[in-house]
Amino acid sequence: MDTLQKLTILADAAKYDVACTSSGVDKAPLPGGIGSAAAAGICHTFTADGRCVSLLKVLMTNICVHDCKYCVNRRSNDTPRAAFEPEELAELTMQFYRRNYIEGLFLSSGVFRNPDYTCEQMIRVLELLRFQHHFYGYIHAKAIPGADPRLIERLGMLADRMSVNIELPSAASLSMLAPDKSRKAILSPMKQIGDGIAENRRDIVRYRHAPKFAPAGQSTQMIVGASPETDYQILHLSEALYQKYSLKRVFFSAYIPINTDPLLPGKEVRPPLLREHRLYQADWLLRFYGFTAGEILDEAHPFFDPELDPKCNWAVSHPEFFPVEINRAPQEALLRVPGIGIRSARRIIEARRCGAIDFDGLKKIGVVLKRAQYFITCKGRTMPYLRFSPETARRALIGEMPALAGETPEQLSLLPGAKWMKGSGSHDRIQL
Amino acid sequence: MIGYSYDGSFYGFLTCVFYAYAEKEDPAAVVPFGSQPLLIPMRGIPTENDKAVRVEKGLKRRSEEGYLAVRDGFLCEMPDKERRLLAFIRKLIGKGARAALSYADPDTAPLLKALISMREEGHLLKGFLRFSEHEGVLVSVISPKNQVLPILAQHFSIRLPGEKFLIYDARHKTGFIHTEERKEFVSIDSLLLPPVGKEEAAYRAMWRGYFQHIAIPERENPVCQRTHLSLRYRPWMTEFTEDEPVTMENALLPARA
Repeated sequence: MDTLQKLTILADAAKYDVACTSSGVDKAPLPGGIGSAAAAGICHTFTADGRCVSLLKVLMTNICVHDCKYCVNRRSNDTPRAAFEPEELAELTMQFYRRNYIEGLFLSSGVFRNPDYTCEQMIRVLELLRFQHHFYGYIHAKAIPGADPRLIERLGMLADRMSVNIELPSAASLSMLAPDKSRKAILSPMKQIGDGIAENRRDIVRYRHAPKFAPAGQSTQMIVGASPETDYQILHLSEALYQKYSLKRVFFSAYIPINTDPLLPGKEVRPPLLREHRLYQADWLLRFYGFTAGEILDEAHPFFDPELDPKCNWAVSHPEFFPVEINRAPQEALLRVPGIGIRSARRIIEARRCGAIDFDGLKKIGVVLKRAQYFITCKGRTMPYLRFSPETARRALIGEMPALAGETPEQLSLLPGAKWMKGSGSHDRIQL
Repeated sequence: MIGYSYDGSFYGFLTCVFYAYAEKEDPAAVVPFGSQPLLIPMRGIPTENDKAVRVEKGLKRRSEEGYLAVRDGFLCEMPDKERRLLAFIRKLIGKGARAALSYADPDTAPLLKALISMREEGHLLKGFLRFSEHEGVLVSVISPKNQVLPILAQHFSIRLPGEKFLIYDARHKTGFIHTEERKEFVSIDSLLLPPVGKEEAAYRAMWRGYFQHIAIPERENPVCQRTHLSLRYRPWMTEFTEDEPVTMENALLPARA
């Protein structure tokens, strides 16, 4: 089998893994080395499904002893199998890297023989890259659950980012769909990596040249739609993962039916792409906008509104918080306004230091006024000629997003209605 | 009313700025030599490095960030670039850096927007640029809207310090040559590349194969793909182009320099 064939088989086997970022670390090569990394991450191309390709994402091998029901590489599947030689994969990575096809390597693997052996093979590739090719670019390595902690530590010393896939959002689903894996076997390397990073950070303060352990942090991913958990449970789990294991990212992967099994959704089920999209939106709110999972969803509303994004949804159901005065509100309050993002909030704060901002200025700054207009005042005034009620605002906001909207985006915002935000702040609909 | 013309260089432009202040003039146009004639009297401003350096120092003294906006703004593609830069400089000197760098200001916002799009293009091309190996030299051809070559030159000089490479900007007819001894910008009118060698063709084929197989067919979404990777970059990218078929002759011949 030649390298091209192996590459296509093992890329096919790895493509359902969603994490592909190359972010979180800035570095330049030492003399004689090759390769650098940028903290913002660099995308090298986008595939036909619109996902970014940053790293060469392949499996070491797709031969696997496990039989996880959702996985394309499960033991009982009849798919072509292949394995890279460590030297072959290292050479391929370097040649792709020189041509600027990729930002680095994303290495995962099926469990071949046993977790320790698999981990050793991966370490061999990383050692070849780091010590023989003097490669300073980005490497993301998957920790293999069940491998010896010393091997995981070795892997962390060679890689920039580590990850362990939590696979499914609850222990019950895991034992049902992945009978060979246990929650504990997944969480223990995650904890080890988290502790390793924290300890390493202390060492670096003490000794400047202490070797770096996974300097770009760790991430995880879970499959959405293969098991019955609610969005509320998933979001709470990701919040806990961010807090407890200080993860950099939690990725969500809409379940794509590839295997038939009585325990899985049927093959006719479309991948829940909108749900995945909403989860990422909420994930952004958690990480950058100062929201908590409990604010976005609660037990009474355990699923996302398919029509309205989580931020608009929060804003529409919390009229007591609005309107926000652009020229005085603190950054946290600005970030709660739909249509104002991290960048525009920062620009507003910069710009208002040298004079009050009006609606025209907001537009120049890049605020999406179509969404923000219902929630803000400039110099104490709302947008001229704007009349709306909670219901018309909601409908207008839904109509604002045609790609995700329902079937009737009516322009009800043109109808005269009560000014709901200046009232008592009740959640009730105001009759037109 | 008067217009200035200059040689098109950054220092040439700074000399124009010097004279606009020295003569207390507000030129209605500042254009490079040889651009379309205008209906106003024009004055040619020869580049004077000492004057330009004085302007440069003055800008830096007021604000490092403001100076960088002028320097990078000069590389942007935007209509009436020089006059917008001059308006920015007047704001920077008159009202200070904070006012000049405000996105809400109608005088300076167009420049700041152009800067964002220029830096964005530079960032994207750090990923979208593709090298091909010809006799041990990595060659890349790009065609960006803005003059992002300096950004790319810096990025790849850090990333590939031991490699010999050439990045050619076909739109602005400039190139950057990097070897261990020599790092310089050159102007190149046209570039004819030799046919690809066997090894290069093999890696291209592998990359194209990988690119095809890493996509998930159930999730196909060409609109999303186009949003992130606009069509204008694709003619220069290996995975969106095809090689000429390898015939017996060009497969057996070694690649010519």
